[in-house]
Amino acid sequence: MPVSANWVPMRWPAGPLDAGRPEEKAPLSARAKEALEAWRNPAALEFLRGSPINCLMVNWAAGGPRDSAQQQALAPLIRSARSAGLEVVGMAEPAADLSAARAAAQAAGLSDVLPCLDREKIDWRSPSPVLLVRDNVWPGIQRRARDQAVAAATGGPWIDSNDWFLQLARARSRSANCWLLAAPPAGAIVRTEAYLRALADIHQAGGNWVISLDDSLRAGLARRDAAALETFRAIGAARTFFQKHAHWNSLSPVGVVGVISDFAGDNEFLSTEILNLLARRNIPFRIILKEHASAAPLDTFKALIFMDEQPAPPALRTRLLAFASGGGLLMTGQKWDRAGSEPSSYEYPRFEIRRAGKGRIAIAAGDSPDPYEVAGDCRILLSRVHDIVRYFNISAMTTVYTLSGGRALLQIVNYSQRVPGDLVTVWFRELYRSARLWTPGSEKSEPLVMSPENGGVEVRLPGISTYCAVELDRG
Amino acid sequence: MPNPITRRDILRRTGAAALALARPAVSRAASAPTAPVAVTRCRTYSPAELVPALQETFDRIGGLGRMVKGKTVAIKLNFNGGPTVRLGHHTLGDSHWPHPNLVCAAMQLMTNAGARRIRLLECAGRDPNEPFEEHFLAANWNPADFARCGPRVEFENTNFMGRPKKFVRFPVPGGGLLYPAYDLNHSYADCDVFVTIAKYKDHPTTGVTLVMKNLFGMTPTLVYGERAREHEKQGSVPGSRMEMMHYGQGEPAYGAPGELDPASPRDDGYRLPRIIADLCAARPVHLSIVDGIKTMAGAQTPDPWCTLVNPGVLMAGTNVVTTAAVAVAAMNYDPRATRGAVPFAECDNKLLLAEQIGVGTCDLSRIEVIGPSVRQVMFDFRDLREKRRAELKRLFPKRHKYGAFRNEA
Repeated sequence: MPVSANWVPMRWPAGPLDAGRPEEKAPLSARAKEALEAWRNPAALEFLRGSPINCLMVNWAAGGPRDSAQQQALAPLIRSARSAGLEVVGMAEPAADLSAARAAAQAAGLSDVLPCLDREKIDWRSPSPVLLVRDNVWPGIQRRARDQAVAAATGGPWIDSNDWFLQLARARSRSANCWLLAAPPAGAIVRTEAYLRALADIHQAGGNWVISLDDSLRAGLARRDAAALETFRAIGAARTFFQKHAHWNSLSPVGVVGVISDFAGDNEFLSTEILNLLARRNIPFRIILKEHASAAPLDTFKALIFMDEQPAPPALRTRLLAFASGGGLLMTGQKWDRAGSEPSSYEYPRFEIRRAGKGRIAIAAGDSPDPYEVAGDCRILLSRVHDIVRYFNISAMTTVYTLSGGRALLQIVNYSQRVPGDLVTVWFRELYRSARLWTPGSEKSEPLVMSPENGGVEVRLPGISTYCAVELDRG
Repeated sequence: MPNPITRRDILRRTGAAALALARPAVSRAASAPTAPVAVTRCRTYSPAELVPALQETFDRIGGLGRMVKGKTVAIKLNFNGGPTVRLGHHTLGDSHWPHPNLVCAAMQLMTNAGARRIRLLECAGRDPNEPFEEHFLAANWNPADFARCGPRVEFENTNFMGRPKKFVRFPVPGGGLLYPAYDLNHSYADCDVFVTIAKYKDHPTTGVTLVMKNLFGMTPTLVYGERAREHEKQGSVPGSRMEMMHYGQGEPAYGAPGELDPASPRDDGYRLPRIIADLCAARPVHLSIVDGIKTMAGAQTPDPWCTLVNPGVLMAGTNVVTTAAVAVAAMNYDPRATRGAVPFAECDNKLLLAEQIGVGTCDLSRIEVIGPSVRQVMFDFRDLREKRRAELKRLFPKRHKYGAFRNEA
C-alpha cells in the first residue's frame, strides 16, 4: 500500500541498525539499550492506543550486512503492529538497494519503504506523494554550551528552524508532502515543550514531523511511567490539533520580498541561506523558482532578490528590469548587466545602487555576497515603510504568515524555554476585522483584542507557551 | 527677545563649575544655578488636552519664542531598549519612550515659535547604513508624522559620526568626574538649543531615570561600546555600553580620552551617576521636558515586574538638574538623598553630583515650581517600589544584587 500523506508517522527504533554503526565508538547508554529492547517487544505498542499515531517508521535497509538481522528482528513487532491496524513503513538509507528493500518489505508485511533523502539530493519531480527528508535541524535555540545561546542576526538568540526549507519544498513541489526526520540531540534532557516546539516548527510550515522520542522518554513509555505517558499524551494532542487544521497548509505565503533562484548547484548555498536568514529576521518572503520567474506575476512584490551565479536568461532579465523600472527594488549578483540602469549618488557599502526608471537595482559589490548581509541589507534598502506585519516581544519566536482570499493565518512558535512572560503584539498593515486565537489542545478559537494603529491594526496575543495560530478575516 | 542661552553663558557656567569644584560641597550646592520648573496636569496624550497643556507648561517658563526663534533645535529622544520591546501590550509611548504625540506637540510648538530646524537625535541601532527613521518604523511610529512638524526636520542616529565623519569632543567643565571629555555625534554641537525629553521612571543602576539620565544615551557605542577599540580596528560596530561605561572595562575608541582615574571603583553605581553629571555639564541642556503623563514604575526598560502608571503630569524647565529634582520629588523620592537611601540605595546621587559641579541645584527650597505644587502632582513611586520589593522578597528570599533588586533598598 503506497504511503499516504495523511498518515501520522512515528520513529520506532527497535533493531540492530538502531543501535548505531559498529564503527561508532560511543557505546549505547543503558537507557538507550533498555529502550531499544523494550520497543522491540510488541507489547510496547500498547501505549499507542488512543493516540493519533497510525504509522511506525522503522529502519529497514542501510545497505550493509546487518540489514537482514534488522528485518528479522523486527518481524514480530511488524506482525503485531499490522494486526493492531498500524501501518509500518521502512526507511532505506541512500546506500541501500531500494528495490531489494521494497521486496523484503512486501514479504514482511510493510506498507512501503521510503528512501531517506538529503535536502540537496531531493528529486522534486518524483511522483512519490511523500518525501522523507533526513538532514533537518532539531528546532530550538542554538546553544554553544549549557545555558549559552548563540546570537542571531538581530541580537536575539539564533533559532534553528526548518520553516524556510519547508516553504522552499512547497514552492518546488506543491504535491509532495515532506516528512521530516528530526531527532532530539543525543544525551539532552528533552522537556515536553521541546517536543511540542518540534512539532509546531515543522507543521506550521506544512511539513509532517516523523515523531522521534529520546531514549529516556522511550524507556519511560515502555515502563508505563506516568510522566512519560503524560508527555506522550501532550504530543499526541498537539499532533491531533495539526491534523484537524491540515487545511491551513493550502494557504499561500504572504510577503512583499521575493527570492528568485533555481536553489540548486552553485546557487544552492547562497539562495537557501538567504531564505533562512530572511526567516530568522521574520521578514515574510515568497519564493519564485527561476524556471517560472519570467511568467510569474510580480506586481505584488516590492523587492526581488536574484543572486544566482549565472546571468539571468534574457526573458527573466527583461522582466526584472521592468520590475525595477516600475518602482521595485531588485537585488542582484555582481554579474548583472548594468545596461538599462544608471548610476545613483546613493552610497551603500555592499551594493552598488543604480537607478532604473522609478526603482533601484542593488548590485552586489563582491562576487560572494554574505547571505546574512543580503537579508539585512534587503530590510534596509527596502525600508520598513513596506512592512506588511510588525512584531513586538518576539525575540525567540518564528512566524509563518499565509493567506487565502480575505482570510489569513499567522502562526507563531516560541523557542524560549522560559515561562511565557512577554505578551506579543502584532501589527498588520491589512485592516482585518477579526482575529481569533488557536492553541494546541483547544477545540475552538478565542477572539483577540484588536485596535487600529498606524493605518493598520494591532492584535494583542496572550503569552505563547510554544505555539499559537491567529486566524484573521477581512470580512 | 534675545536668546537667553549664549556662548557667553556657557563659558560663564564653565567658569562657575570650575570655581564650584574648588569649594566645599555645601557652598557649591548653595551656589549652583537654579531655574523655575513648570508643572502642568495632563491626563492623556489626546492632542486636544496635550497641546494646550504643553503650551501652558512652556509659557510658565517664559515661552519657547525667546529660546528657539530662528534657531536649530536638537531634541535628544529617550529611546531606551529596542523598538520592538514592549511592556506587555502597551505601546512604547505609554510605557518607556516619550509619547510620539508629546514629541510631535513639542516640535509643533517649537515650529510655531519660530524654530528654523529641528533635529531628532538618539543612539539607535548598530547598522550605520540604516536610517534613523527605520527605528521609528520598527516601533510602529510613522516618521512622516514627525517630519510634518516643522519646516525642516532631520533624523540622526548619533551612534555614528554622521556627515562630518568625525566625532566632536565635549570637554567637561572643571575637568570631569569620570572622563575629562566625551566624544559625541556632531549634532549635539551643531545646534543652538538642546532639548532633553524623557519619561520619569525607576532605574536599576542609578535609582531614577529622567531628563538627566537621558543624556547617557548620547554616548556612541562606536566609541564607548564593549571592546570598542577592537571593533575600531576591525571596522565593526560594538554593542552595549555596559562593559566600558558601567564596569570600566576597556578604553574608548576613535581617540576619545580615557577616564581620569583608572583606579576608581568599577562599580556602576559609582560610575554612571558621574558620567551622567559630566554629560549634563559638558553638553548644557536648554530645555528639559518630562513626560509624566503615562509611564512605568520598576525599571527603565520593560521587565515583568514593571507597572504601567498614569501620574498625569508634564514638567519643563530650563535647568536640567532643577527639572529632574522636581520630578524626583514628584515621584515621592528625595532628590537630595545620599547613597544608601531610596532611590539611591546602591548608587551615588547624580543630581547631587551635577549640583556639585555647578550644573544646577537639586535643593527644592531653591527651585521655584510654577503651576500645581509637587505635593499636588505627586505619584507614589516609592510606595510601588516598597510593594515590589516585598513581592520580590517573597518570591526570591535570597536577595541578590542584580536586575530587579538593584537599588530596591
